[in-house]
Amino acid sequence: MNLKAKRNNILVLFNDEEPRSDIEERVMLRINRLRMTKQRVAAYIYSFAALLSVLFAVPIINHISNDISRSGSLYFITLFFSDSAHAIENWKALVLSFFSSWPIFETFIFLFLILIFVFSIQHVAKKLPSISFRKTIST
Amino acid sequence: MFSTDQTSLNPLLSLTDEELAERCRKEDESAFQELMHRYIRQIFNFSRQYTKTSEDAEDIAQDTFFKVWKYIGRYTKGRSFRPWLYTIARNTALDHVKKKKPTVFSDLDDTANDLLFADTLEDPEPLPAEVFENNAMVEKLSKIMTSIHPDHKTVLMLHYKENMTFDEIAEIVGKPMNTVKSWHRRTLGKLRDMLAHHNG
Repeated sequence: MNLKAKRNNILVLFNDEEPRSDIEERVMLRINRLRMTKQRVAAYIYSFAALLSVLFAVPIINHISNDISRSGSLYFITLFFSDSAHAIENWKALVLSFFSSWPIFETFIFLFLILIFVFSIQHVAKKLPSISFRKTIST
Repeated sequence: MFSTDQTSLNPLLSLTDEELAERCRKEDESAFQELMHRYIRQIFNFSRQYTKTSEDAEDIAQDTFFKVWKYIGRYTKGRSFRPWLYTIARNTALDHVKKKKPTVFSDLDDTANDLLFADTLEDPEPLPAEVFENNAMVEKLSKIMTSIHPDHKTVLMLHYKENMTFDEIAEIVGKPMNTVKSWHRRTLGKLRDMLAHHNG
């Protein structure tokens, strides 16, 4: 018996059944649900990150303002306006004094927190429309 | 394979499975739908070998394509898509069977890993042709098929129905090619013996 005939014979043993017609739609529905869950989780995580960055930023702002008023950095700024001629003459010394008195480390942390906040809000804003749109579809 | 009218309406029809899988990796939903449309029926019938009801087979087929979408990132470029898909389908079916009540299969199961020298030899003798000309006999054979281990039925199905090579089947069932050839040989032998027993 040739291979083709043998193949045809064996095929008789495997009945070809049809799945329900909506099976593809059901798979797509599950995929959309998974996608929505992922987007929701991402939105929660980014919202949480934004909230945390704001919470941490508040004490850091206080810390920076205290440090500035204590170190006299503001005095150097006012000097530029009150005695500009003298300030321009000695601008190098003034700039150096200003930076040495400025709380640089805290400023970096503050800027980093701002960056996290902006990045998180941007992501939440991107995810929210698709989530609310899919929600209206599912309801 | 497809007429030019069809491919101009849907350009995805002209793409190979591997090209579609590549598009799926980039979250192309229409490419995924085309792949699903190509294989959902085959995967359903493949799953049917592992389950008693078509509802269970549908669940497995659904889970399989859901996993394909979820884990498409693990599909490596250049690899043949079909064996990868059937491997997922088989693993999903086995998980499904595990959750359900265990099914007792024939004694082929116990000796599944014993490889005889004879098994690695040429293709076995086919089943007698006249068997297939008799409807009652075919029905009897189909009943006998239910007592055979799903993996062994799978070998026959993939080889004869899906035209897969033993190498591809070995990849799907995760066994050496000689073992797969052995299963193929023994399953045919078993069918022949059972048939003789039923007739005798």
